Amino acid sequence: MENKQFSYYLRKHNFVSFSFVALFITIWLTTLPKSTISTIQIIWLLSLIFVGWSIIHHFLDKSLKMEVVIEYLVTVGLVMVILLSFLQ
Amino acid sequence: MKFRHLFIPHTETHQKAHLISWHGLVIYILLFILLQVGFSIFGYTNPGVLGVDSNIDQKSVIEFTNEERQKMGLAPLSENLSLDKAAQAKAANMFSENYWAHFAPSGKTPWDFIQGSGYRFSYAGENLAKNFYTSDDVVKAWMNSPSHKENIMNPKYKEIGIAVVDGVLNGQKTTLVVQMFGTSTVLAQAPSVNINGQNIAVPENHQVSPEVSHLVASAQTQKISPSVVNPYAVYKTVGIAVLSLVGFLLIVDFMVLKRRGIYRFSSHHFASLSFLTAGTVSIIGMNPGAVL
Repeated sequence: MENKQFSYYLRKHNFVSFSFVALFITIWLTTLPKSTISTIQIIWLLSLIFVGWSIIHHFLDKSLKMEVVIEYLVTVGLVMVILLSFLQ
Repeated sequence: MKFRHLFIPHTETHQKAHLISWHGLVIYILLFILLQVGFSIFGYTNPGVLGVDSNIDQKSVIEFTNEERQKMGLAPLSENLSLDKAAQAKAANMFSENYWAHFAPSGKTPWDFIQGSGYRFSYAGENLAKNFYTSDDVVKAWMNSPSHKENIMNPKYKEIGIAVVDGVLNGQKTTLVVQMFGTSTVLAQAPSVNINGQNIAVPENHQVSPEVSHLVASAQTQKISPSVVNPYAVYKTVGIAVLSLVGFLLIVDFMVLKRRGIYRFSSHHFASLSFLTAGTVSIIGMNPGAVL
């Protein structure tokens, strides 16, 4: 029952909440000194939340198909590949 | 496959447009990797054609450094010509041995260059930067790094030497900025050098090799022709273009589905768009500059 409630909560609110949390974290982290946390680390963190959350969603609520999780992974991969090109 | 299904959801199955399906995204990743590998190979076969053109000058780096010190109530540093020479020799050595580090692969240390210039010190330090566009960017990047800021704000230092040298590093045209600090007052204690926030004691019997002395004596600024293509500008443009295209097609996908009255349970447009926005903002803020 608890799981069902949690998965209902995830389905209804997760990605909208996530979006605001992600943007808030990005804005907050970019205010920190660069050597404390770099842009790449910020995106890694966001990616971890993004993909982690979608995988949890997949296992708790089968409405999120594995194909969508793969889509998220690939989206994260695309952003990371572009950002990593700036690392020397 | 119809051409329009590259951009809009399928008319009957309502599946995502091919350009934003995960297969499409994998193709973008592969193309981007191909672009990077291509630039890398081209850089090694045609040294100096690719790279970053900077507009940094020695005097303004000193000015910005002193401005930062004065904000904290510290005395400004005065330029020392021996430290300038040491910094120039260090930059020239990084190009000739093709490295980006405080210590050369051949074993040369920062104090080799300082002592090789004839500068006798009790305290010294070294900051490095490469691929920044302006002097202001360089000093800001150092100030954003606690270990480099520690050097700039060190009250023990009295003098400064700067070198801004163009050359080819790893096949790409690069502008290296070497900042050396020193206190020439001779104290009883053994001299030390601050590298990346760590104080390293210089051995009392340290001898500078004739090779380093020759490097310092012969160091001079050389001008090389500007690069033809800035690969980082290309990465940024292509990256933003790809993410914008994906974002735009996601919005189209959302609007088309809404107009058709279809709810695709697996689509989370807002989440994907917010992640792409965060990624795009980060890419816009990226620059090729690095400090060490």
